[in-house]
Amino acid sequence: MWLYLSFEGYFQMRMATDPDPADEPRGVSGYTFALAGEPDFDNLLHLQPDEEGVCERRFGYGKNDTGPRVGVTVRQAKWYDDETLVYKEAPEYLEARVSFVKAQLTERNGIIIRNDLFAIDPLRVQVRNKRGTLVLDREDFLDPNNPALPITQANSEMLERRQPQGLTDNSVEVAKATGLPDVSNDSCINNRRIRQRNLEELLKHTKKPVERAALATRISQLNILRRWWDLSQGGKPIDRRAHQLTLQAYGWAVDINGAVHVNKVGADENTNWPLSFWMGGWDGDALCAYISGYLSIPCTSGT
Amino acid sequence: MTSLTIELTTRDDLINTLHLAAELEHNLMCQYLFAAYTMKRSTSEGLSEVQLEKTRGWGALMTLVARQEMEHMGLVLNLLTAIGGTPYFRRPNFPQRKERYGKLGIKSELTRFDKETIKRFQGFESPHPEPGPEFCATRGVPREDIRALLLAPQVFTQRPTEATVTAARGAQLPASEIEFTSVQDLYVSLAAGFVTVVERIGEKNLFIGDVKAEIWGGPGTPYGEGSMDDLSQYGLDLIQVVDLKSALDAIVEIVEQGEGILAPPDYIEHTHYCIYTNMLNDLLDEKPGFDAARPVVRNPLTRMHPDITAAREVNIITRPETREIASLFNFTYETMLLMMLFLYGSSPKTKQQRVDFMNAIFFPLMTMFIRPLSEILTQLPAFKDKKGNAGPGFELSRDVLVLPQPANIWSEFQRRFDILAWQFDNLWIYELRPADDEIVKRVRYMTENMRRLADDWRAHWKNVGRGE
Repeated sequence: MWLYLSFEGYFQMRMATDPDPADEPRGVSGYTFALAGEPDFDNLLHLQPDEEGVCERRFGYGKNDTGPRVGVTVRQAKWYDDETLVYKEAPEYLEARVSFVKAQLTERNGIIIRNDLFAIDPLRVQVRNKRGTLVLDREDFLDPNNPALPITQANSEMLERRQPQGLTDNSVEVAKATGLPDVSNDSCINNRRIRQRNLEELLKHTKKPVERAALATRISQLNILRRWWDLSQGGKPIDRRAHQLTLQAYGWAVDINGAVHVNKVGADENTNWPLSFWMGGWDGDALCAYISGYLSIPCTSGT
Repeated sequence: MTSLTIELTTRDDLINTLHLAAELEHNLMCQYLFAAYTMKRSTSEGLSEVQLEKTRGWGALMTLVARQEMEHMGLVLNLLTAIGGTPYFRRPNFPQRKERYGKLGIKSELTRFDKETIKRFQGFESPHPEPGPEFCATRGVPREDIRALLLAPQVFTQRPTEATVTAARGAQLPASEIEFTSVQDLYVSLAAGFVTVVERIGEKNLFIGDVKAEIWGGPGTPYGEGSMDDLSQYGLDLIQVVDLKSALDAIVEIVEQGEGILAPPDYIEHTHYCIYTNMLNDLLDEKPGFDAARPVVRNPLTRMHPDITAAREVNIITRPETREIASLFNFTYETMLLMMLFLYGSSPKTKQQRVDFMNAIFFPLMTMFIRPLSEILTQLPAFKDKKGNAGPGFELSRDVLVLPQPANIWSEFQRRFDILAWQFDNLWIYELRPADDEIVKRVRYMTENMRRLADDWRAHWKNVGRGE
């Protein structure tokens, strides 16, 4: 018997972007910032809005305050009997909340990972049903023989387990998930221009100097949609602030192998639990991106 | 177009002038980085939230300008390579009197971010003659007109014979004999010089260098495995120089980004001159008492160097734990320069070796060690007995950087990384401050990273996580 949980939604990740150092607390030379009135970056993947460290921003005034809202939940849940090959709905897990506890996307500017194929670490998956009860909690070890091994001592094979398979530009899957009308660069640029206009409107209705300073920074960043230097490119390419709206990091596939802390679904604790997901649609203004994935739980009992 | 000072007529003229250009770009980059790293980064340093936001904005612009100075240095090195020159990483230690660069009048000193410093930087980047206050709000020159301007007949204020002698001795000149009157004058003279020398000896005879030894980015770069295929996301564009057209493109890019005198219509506000002009205006508008920078002393060095010409302006760091970190910074910086000397040099190397070196220099060493060490130094007291913080001195202990034999290159850098890892691990500061001190935590983080870098270098990058 297996329990399949399909989850998706926006998460927040407040982190610096290169060429800032990976531990930069507020952002200087990259394009992501801890703005006036906001705490320093915590570099953590927040899949739930009530996690400590989440700092959601406004995206416009009144009805135009639309943008990513943090919350990754189970959208489909099914039991699968691998003897009878029959699927059954598992409504008790619909709307369950998925979290990756204290997870970070790690690269350290080429010291651990190269070229933005970030490794996720630590990796500990929790699922709470819609009543808030923790029903699953299991961690993954980089090296099951040495659970305490830090990522700075992991070899490439260990890291690869925690990396995506690759990156896709202009991903249809991402655009569909985040509501972009299509995957073209023009759509990405248009999306940023709409956000900029909405923030300019919000600025008109904002009196507090701290909030105005933060908005001014966001508005000026949204001005940078085409790159300035183009001799080698033969035209001004789209800037990463817009391009990443349809960029997808695909193919994370980790068989969760470590200690089980909570098991209220009858999961088999002696085998690994396959977890797979993609992340994409990074909105550097919101510091949010979309995640969509599956957690497959082999069960010794169920339904 | 104004008249130029010197007519460059030979390959030697070009090479020696490019050496001077490389030295200047290196020099300015260090000054800009120093000032940027002195900026306050938290409200706990006495700034309001609004002031902190403003300070961060200035810091972002200064690091952009510094990155573009690195790019200019890279373009100059490509120009050198293309015409058969050798890479040039020499520069005198800070501080230097402004007479060191003759009529260029460039004062070389490491000073914290303030009005005087930004005014000095504005002067470095100023078009000549200095434009009026309307310049940064006006539209520039369309790019198609720029080449025509550069190729137009030039007027020189010196006779070729005199100029040749002066230029040919380039960066090694006694300061008073450098005749270029501005950075703009130097680069526009170079552009005219390339045209002149091509006319005299022919394009094929000028561009005799091993163009494969150049480092360049953009689509089609042989180094596409890293971020080199996508450099413009950082406001940069390193082009390959193979002929007169690409040589002029490289020079135009440098002058456009810096002085802006030839900048295209939509770019004027982003030129270095206008960035500093606008920053200075912002600073002048601020209320008294707003100090965006840490109390960093001028020219904080670990020791005096024989090539310093303004010895009275040096502040020797006397606090032992700070001095130790300043020395660590200098060794890291020197290691990075040595790696670049190998990377740009003409010794035989495979494409993979180039990529391996670039993967150590451009992101890890620059962003994960040079900058954080600099920022930490500006938070630490420089002296035992008086106030004032330290900073990165960019000290070069030897006049010339020398590489070992090619066969020993990898092991030499292994030795350096191992030394760095050991030094990071054994800093005195761990004993003097509590483990949860923010500076100690950051140094520990760098220690982990240096150990990993050293181990991975030993494994020939076998442990790093896969890139695409």
